[in-house]
Amino acid sequence: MDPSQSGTPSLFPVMDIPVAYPPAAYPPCEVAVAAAAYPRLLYAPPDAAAAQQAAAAQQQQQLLGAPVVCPPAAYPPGEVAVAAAAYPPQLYAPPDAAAAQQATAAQQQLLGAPVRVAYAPPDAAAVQQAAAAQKHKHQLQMLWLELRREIEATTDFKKHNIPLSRIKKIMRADPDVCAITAEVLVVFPWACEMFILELTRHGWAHAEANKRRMLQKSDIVAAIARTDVFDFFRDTVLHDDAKEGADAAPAAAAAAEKAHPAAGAPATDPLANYPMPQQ
Amino acid sequence: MPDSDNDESGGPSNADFSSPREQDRFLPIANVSRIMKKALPANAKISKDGKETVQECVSEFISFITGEASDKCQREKRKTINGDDLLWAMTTLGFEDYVEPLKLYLHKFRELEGDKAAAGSQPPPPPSSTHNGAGVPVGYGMYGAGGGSGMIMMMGQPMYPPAASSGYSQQPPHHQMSMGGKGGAYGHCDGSSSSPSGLRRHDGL
Repeated sequence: MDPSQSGTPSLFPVMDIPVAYPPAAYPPCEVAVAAAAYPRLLYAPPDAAAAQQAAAAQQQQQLLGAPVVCPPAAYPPGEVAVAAAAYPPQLYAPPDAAAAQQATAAQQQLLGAPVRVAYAPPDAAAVQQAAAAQKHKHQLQMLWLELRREIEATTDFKKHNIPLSRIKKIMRADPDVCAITAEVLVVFPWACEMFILELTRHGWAHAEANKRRMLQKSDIVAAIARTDVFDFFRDTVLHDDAKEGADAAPAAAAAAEKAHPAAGAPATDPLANYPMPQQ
Repeated sequence: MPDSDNDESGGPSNADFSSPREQDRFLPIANVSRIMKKALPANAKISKDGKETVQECVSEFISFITGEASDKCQREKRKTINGDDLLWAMTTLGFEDYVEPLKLYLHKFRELEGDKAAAGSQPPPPPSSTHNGAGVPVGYGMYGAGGGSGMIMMMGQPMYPPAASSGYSQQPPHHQMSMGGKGGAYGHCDGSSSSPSGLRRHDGL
């Protein structure tokens, strides 16, 4: 009987709490909320009015928990705040819209990528060729600038990179040539040097295109074939090959033998083939 | 016909061509090789047949220019080829890039020649010997080829003036790549059917 007796005194203070509050100061809904805030009131069976109010509060809470949008006018401001807090999905609407937009953008990007990839090969090849052409052109311009500075800096007209006697002999090989002034012999060495630089540079561009570090005859021939200004060499070079083979068989054979270890390529076979018919 | 010494040449003569006749036809391969190396990177190599091919081309170049200048002198009833004839021949045959620096050099030489006595401008006596009998048909072929080359160069004229101009070429590559990018964008605008390709894109180059 002691536990029951100790339980009874605890019920008395609980019943005194609502009596201490003036009922006129709170609306019925507020009272329900206040009752909900005090779980102990739910355990007061003797008080029928309090029990009914607690049940109404529970029902209201269940209704608020449901995903049903209620007219805000039916609830006081406090209830509206509770209703807003009771509907969490509404607060996540903007992120969903943003996510949808991002997904759409991602899809558009994915759809766009294959179209660009389809045009990559020709663009890449064209860009590479254009870059190589620009590089080659730039290097040739640097050569001209350097040679021009060398020409302007030259004060000794008797010093040349190419012997004048040899140029004179080649010029006089033409029977139509009668006389040559000294200024011609002074100018021609520089012209020959420019020619050698340009022809070598074009040949090197061909060697680089084939991933080689050694300039070969095939590179010079290719440079002649693809450069308009060297058009007059196309037949002459091929003709000179046969002619040179016929005139100097031992020299060509010696050159072929020496070229074998240096070149290490089948390019020397044509040279080796020329002397054989003569022998 | 005695062979004159190569006093002007500082490099050794080419020993591969033992025959004097062959030696007269070409320039020394050592000089040609030295000039070729100026146009190549330091780690580049030149094969022997490459040097010999350029050696032959230079001789043909000399004969080519000389023949054109000689023809001009004959048309004008003159017997001596001078520097202006040489520069004119180069311009006519498509080597106009060479003319500007050579013209400056020619002016310097003439100024110094004017300072000196007139004895320096005396033309050397013409020899009466002709070594290459077969050179005549080659010359005729060259003349015809020269005409064709001139016509071709007329069409290719716009390509050389930009090369002659001296300036930074950093912008042209960038502009070219930009044009490439525009091409890609244009392709994208077409919206044609796409095909899977494993090749990498080089738009960034």
